[in-house]
Amino acid sequence: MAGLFPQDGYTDFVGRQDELTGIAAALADSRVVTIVGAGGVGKTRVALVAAAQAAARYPDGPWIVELSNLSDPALLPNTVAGVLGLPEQDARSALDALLEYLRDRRLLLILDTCEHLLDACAALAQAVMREAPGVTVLATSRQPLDMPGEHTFPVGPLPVPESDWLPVAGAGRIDGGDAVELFALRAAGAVPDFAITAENVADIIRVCRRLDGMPLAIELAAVQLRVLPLGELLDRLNHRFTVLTGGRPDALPRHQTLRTAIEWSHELCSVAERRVWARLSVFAGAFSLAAAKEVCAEVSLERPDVVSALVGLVDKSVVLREGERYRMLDTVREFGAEQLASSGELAACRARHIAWYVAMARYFGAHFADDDQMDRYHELREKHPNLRAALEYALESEEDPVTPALAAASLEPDGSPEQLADTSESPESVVTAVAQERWEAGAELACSLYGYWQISGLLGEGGYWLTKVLDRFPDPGRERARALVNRGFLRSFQGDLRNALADCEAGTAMALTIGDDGTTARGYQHTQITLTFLGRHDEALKVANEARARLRACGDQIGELLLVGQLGHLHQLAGRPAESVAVCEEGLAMLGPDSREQWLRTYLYNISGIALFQMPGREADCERMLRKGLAGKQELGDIIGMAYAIDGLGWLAQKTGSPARAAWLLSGRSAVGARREPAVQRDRDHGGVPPAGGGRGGRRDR
Amino acid sequence: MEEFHQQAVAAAAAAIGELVYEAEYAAGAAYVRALLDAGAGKGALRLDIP
Repeated sequence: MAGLFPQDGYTDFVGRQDELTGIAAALADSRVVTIVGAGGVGKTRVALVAAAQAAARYPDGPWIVELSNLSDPALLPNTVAGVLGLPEQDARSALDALLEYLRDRRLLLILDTCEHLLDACAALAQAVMREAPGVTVLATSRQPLDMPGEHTFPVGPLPVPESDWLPVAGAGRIDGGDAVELFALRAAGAVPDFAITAENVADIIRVCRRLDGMPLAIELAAVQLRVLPLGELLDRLNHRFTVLTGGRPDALPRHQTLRTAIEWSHELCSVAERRVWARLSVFAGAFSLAAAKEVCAEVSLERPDVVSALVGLVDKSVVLREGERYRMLDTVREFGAEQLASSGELAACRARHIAWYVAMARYFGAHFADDDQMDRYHELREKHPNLRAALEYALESEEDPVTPALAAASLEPDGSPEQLADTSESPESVVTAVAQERWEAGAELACSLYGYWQISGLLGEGGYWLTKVLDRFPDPGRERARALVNRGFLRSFQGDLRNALADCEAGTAMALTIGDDGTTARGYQHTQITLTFLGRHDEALKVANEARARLRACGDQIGELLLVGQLGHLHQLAGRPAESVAVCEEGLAMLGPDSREQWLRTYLYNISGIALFQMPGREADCERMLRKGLAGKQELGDIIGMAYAIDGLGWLAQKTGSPARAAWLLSGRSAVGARREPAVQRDRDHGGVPPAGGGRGGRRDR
Repeated sequence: MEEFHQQAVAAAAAAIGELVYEAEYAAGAAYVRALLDAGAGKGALRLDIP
């Protein structure tokens, strides 16, 4: 879960009243509060309930940023900014943009699961403390962030009664404490008629005590009631722990208790379920059934077997089902990852994960202007943590320990280890070739996502991954050329125009030299928009002609469509509104009247609307176009595009004699602009491109 | 195009007066900001402009 915090609370939350009181006090006293506790102890749920209870003190809301799926600390500011809805469409760092946005906000920022990003989280929290006086950070972690001003709040297991026998409370109700209540709640979910009775309460208490009151361990055990009677469940648990401790009670440290409970769940799984559990650990966050089948299945475990195993894992609460998606809790996923690493299947499984997301990205790139563009985009957006994971796996360094296994996997189509020995290549060259293949997949993924980076506004993150591609391909070649022109394209929309032009020109020249016609054509196209933003309109027009001829020659219809939109923009900025409108109409005609393509269409509406504003007597057409642009950009969630349309409607309202409406609308870009850099610098850098943002704050920007 | 924006701001404020302008401006900004907050990270936004 990530985003603005739900205010309706948690109906199945058990106990923790003392902790919640303590955290509320800590939040009142400190700007950085870290809830510290072992994996599986329930830190996240405690944080969410504490945040819900404190919500009234934060008018700009509690926001939760789920970090367990993020492994690269460099992307922490981007991740937080993304949750807050800040586009990366300017040249500032994501951290600067984030701090600028937070500076006058009063909100609670929940950083959930920080232990693998301690330094980055501490640095971010310190910057927030320094720059954003109205923001409080609530972190959850297995370790403190270890920073000045941090208030750590330990969360332990749920209390378990010392005695096995409990007095019956009023109305025959048995009050067994928080751990027993949690067990009963989860057991009732697994076995509908389950209830605590005078007969079973002692065994329940023993189970909870055996599991040290660890919530995740209790939840995993409770669902076993589907297949085991309570007494047998207790006997098996006791046996499992007695073997480990040599019969000494309480001999296991708490984290070992949870691990033992997870191992026990693992033992109760079928062989296929264990293999799928391990393989699913390559997913970052939620995954679909289709993805699970594609990544987990191979010759010895076919797709139907994967589905059956997944159903079994859901029954055992190892995998959680959320609508059409599935996910694993961190501790459970970590256990699976250990099993996968020791199985020798890690590299092959990651390779299938990479291949799945490369195929998805490649389709999106090649069918960018198709009718299902937005369905595909939303599908990718939902999968963002896994796109990141695939990029990380693919672009890891050559020294990555999984590489030799990938080498072996790629050389053993029939599973024969002899094939590795048969190859004439040395082990070193094999490793290099396999790393090269993996990096090529990473380059394909990062470059095929060009439209995704733009629509999502994740220009900074797209540039980050393309820079990684360039690090992996330092010598001239197809991947380097393609990454350069794509990075230049993203940089141009961030307003980093000098570097954008350098990238576009270098990539285009390289592509020309090596004879890569497709990348050359796109390189000219990207150079054209950069020159337009630089205000070099005559050069931009010449490059547009070159780009169009080359795009047409290699049959790149999507590139040509994009170029037409860029040409409309060029004419509008160059003071040729009639030409701009004509080119936009040409683009819309190329898309066709029934097209459901959204990105380019709405861009054309906006450009055309602004050009029509400049044409006397075309006010009605101007409003029609800008309203269509606004509606489409809203559908896309493109707040920069929305800002263009709203601002244009504001000019039009004033022009057509509605000054009050104009005032209302003219604030729109300021409200949107609070999520991005002030207008002045960007406006100058873009050579007159309308500032999609604007001055910050409520004061009008005159 | 910044000049289109600035011209519209100046003309609207002159037409309805500074106080009314500020009130309308603040209402619009609050409306858009609340919608952006509600829609952050979720993709599609719904903004019904007057």
